[in-house]
Amino acid sequence: MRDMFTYELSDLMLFSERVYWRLFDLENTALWPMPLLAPLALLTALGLHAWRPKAGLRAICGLLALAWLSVGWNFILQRYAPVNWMMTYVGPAFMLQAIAFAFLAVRGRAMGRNPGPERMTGYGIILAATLAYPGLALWQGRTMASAEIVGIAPDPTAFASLGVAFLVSGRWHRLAVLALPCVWLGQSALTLYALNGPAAMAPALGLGLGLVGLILLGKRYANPG
Amino acid sequence: MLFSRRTLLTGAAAAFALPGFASTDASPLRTIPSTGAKLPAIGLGSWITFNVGTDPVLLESCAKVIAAFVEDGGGMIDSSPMYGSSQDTIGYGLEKLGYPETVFATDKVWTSAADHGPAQITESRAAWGVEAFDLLQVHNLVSWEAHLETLFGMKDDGRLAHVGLTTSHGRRHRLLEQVMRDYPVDTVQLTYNLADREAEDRLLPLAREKGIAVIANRPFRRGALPRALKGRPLPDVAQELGADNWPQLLLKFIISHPALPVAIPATTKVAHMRENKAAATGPLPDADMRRRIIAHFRDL
Repeated sequence: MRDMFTYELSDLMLFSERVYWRLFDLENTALWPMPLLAPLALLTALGLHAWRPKAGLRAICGLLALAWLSVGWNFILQRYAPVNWMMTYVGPAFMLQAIAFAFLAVRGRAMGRNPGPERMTGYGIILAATLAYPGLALWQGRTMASAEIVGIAPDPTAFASLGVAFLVSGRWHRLAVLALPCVWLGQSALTLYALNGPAAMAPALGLGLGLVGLILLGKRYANPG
Repeated sequence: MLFSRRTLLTGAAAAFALPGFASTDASPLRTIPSTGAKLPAIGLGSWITFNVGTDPVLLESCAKVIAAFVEDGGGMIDSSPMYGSSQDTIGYGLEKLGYPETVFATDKVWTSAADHGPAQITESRAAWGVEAFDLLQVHNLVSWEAHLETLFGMKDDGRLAHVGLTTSHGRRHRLLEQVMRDYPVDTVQLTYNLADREAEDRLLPLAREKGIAVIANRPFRRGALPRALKGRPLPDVAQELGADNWPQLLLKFIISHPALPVAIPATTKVAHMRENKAAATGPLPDADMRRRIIAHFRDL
């Protein structure tokens, strides 16, 4: 009988699954109508990118800079940190990511039109983060009130950021939009695995995409041309 | 306010007469040997369950659990600076009740920066809204030497009634044993339940020998034990003890150990809290019954 118990990752969790999902419910309510406007703005910027890549990418990066700033301050530090003290240390990292996107938004030199497959992958990732991610709430048996929305919640914001790695060019630019989102999605996958196994799949998928991006990036710049 | 009265008391015996317990709680009271303080056998933990942040709905839900706990006799409410917003939640619940006298305010100091201990205790008091704690413990033995010095200093000054140590998950028992031998602590908190009985070998006998009260944390292994035992047959002895379900039997087993006056199950549900409290009423297993419960558990 004693053997059926083993040390679990959940022993490290300081909060319950119920509390975690309620954070998004409260955040969506507090920031309304931003949960509607933020995805719309990102979709508009994506449309602009298809038409005028340079201006579109500036717009996407500018919006994601605002998103990381807002998520870092509103969600991570104000909402999440009270139940997870480790987030106090994570908040500043979100600010740094916001600065990285702001830098990309104003720096046009590395913003050429990438090859079709890369561009399409980037579009797909951003569309998934914007349109599919909120729907996970329903799949997980919650209501849309607690949906995770890009620009409001950290996971879809990090997920969308991975897509930008396939739209920008330049090694350091790509690294700048992949590194922290990958780290965040990794910790999020672990947290959700501990709280509710299946819910970890979305951030884990994001982490996988990010790692693929990093590997491709490494290969491309290791064998230029 | 209760806690200001306690702060003024300097004599330990006077400080822990606590007539409130005897007058409001029907269940047998337990005694902390070093001071004679009496309190109900079933306390209230706050790990995870009370960490609800600023969520108004969940705060209200937790406040109802605290109110029911007080209504059923009160006792030890235990928290830690490590438990997120649990201290604030307790403060919210106690404020709504006007800081009832029957609450035995128990918290911890948890910082590796030894000189930050006093400031952290001040922050914890502010979160609870109390002027003094009944028991402060060194959490998980972190920087224990420096924090014990702080806590014993507070006790000498009459600003603290009891000093304790904590550990959990069966960790650091060797160090805990050493500190129990070398320092006059009033309590130790450790993990003890039907599945985690390592403390029986050395720590519980030592606690009895030294007059140290033991507080059992993780009595349900954060709910894993009742979940695993759900649907499994109760031992025959459960009927003799008036235990209708596994959680009650698990708690009766814990608090029947002579070295162990208090268990601190955590819950978010009023019904579960009342069920836990009820475990302390009625007969508790004697040594033979305990052996039968252990044997039955092993056979499952």
